[in-house]
Amino acid sequence: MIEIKGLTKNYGNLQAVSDLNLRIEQEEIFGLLGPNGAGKTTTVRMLTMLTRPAAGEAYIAGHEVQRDLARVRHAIGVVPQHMNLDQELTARENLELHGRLYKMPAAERGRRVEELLAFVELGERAGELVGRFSGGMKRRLMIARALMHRPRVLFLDEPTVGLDPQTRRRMWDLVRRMNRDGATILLTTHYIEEADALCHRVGIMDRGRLIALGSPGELKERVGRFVVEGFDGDGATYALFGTREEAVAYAGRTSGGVTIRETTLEDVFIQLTGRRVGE
Amino acid sequence: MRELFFGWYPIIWEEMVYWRRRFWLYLAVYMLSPLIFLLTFGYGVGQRLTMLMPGGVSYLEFLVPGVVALAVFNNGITSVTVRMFYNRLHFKSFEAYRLAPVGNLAVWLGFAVSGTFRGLLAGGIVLGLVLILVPGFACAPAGLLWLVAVAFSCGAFGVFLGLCLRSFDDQTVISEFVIVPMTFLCGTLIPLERLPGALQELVWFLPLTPAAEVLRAGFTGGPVSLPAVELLAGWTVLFFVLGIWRLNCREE
Ligand SMILES: Nc1ncnc2c1ncn2[C@@H]1O[C@H](COP(=O)(O)OP(=O)(O)OP(=O)(O)O)[C@@H](O)[C@H]1O
Ligand SMILES: [Mg+2]
Repeated sequence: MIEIKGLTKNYGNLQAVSDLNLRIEQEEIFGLLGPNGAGKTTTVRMLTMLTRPAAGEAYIAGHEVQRDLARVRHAIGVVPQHMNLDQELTARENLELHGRLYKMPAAERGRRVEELLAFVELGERAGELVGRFSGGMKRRLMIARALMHRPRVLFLDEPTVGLDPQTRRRMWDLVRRMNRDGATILLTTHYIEEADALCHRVGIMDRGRLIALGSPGELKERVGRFVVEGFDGDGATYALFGTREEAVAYAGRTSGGVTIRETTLEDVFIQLTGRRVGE
Repeated sequence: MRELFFGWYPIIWEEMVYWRRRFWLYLAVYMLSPLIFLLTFGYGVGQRLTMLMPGGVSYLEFLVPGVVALAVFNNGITSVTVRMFYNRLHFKSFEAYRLAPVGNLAVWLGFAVSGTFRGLLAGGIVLGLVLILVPGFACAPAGLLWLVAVAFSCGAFGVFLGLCLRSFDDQTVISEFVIVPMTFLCGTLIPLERLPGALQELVWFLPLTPAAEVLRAGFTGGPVSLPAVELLAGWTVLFFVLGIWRLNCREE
């Protein structure tokens, strides 16, 4: 559904994204994970043609992004990392404007606006100026807006940043529902548990490069299913093992308190980048 | 053609939502500065200026089309640059147009026509004021057509400037280097013949000069000078080309 070949972007001497190759299948939820400045937003901006790649090409729903701009734009919905609503319009007017920009017929547009306002639970506030909305409400409205024209591919750049835990979980439900309705979704996130909970496959980016790719399970398998963490007087110890038995055996040999737990994507991340997310 | 229309209409629609919400404010704002110009220059200073006027018209007769031109110019341009400033740099909602299946030409037209409308509203308000306040003033019907042409040119100017803005300070630069000089130099408040020496020729390099000239001739129903029309058209085309060029340089 999304095919990326050798996509590259430089800002001066900085390689924001270098030689990215990736295939995202239809009806997949794909997560791009990586620390600040890894190049996730730049990737999304290139795929949505907000910025021109230095090299490489991308195809979305069979259309080449550079050439077939209009078709690609009809096929995609985008929720950017920053707010980009018109704060001087009401929630309903923002959706209405979007529907008009996508040339939706009036009757369908009206129906869809109300349907989506209900979907993101903003029906009661629909007539208020967006400038007065809270951050979470604006995010939900941006998602509703991205869905207006029934895109087949959705780009969500950190859709849950700054949301409270309940709202974040509701957002996850929303993403799953959109996916069940047939949308292919590429999302970026810093939240490991988000990628774990939501994504069928994850790509880990670091310094503009894709350094790992696979389902959360596969990636954990790769570094070891179990983690033993402890403290041996000199400092923290940290070891990964393929099976619980090995982990238990290792724990038995060490002095001091240890914890055995299952590997998370965070551990994968640390193993692969030598850093924690956000560092 | 269809594509073009559907592309720019939503931008106008958005503008009309602003209008609905703030019409009375616009009305008050657009009335204020022309009223001040008319009172101070027209009735105050102007009473004594008849002798200095080329062609022996009264200063007020000279001033009225100038104030209309100024209103169209200032508000046509400023409304677009301010909207683009907020859309592009502050709310970032300009991105929504870039993501939508709407071509550059349509985006350009949408904003240019928004500016045209705003210029016409401001110009229309001044005309209304003048018809009430200045006895004996009449406007030739052709003047209204020229008003539309001038307003469109100002909208086009506004789009180009709006696309050049990078920060809040640029907004000040535009106001100080574009709006203020033209306000006084382009034959709107002061006849070109009364400008010092070389300036009389130099001001023909400013777009407001032909606009004011065209409006003045248009309102009195006299013949409109062809070179002024050509200059005005030339500027509009230039602003169009520059605007499309800026739109093509995708924002980084
Ligand atoms: N417009 C720009 N001009 C110059 N450099 C840029 C620009 N946009 C991004 N960069 C640089 O490109 C690199 C990648 O940035 P990008 O925004 O893609 O990271 P990210 O993975 O989205 O990070 P975050 O998690 O913080 O959102 C960074 O080093 C950033 O400084
Ligand atoms: Mg980012």
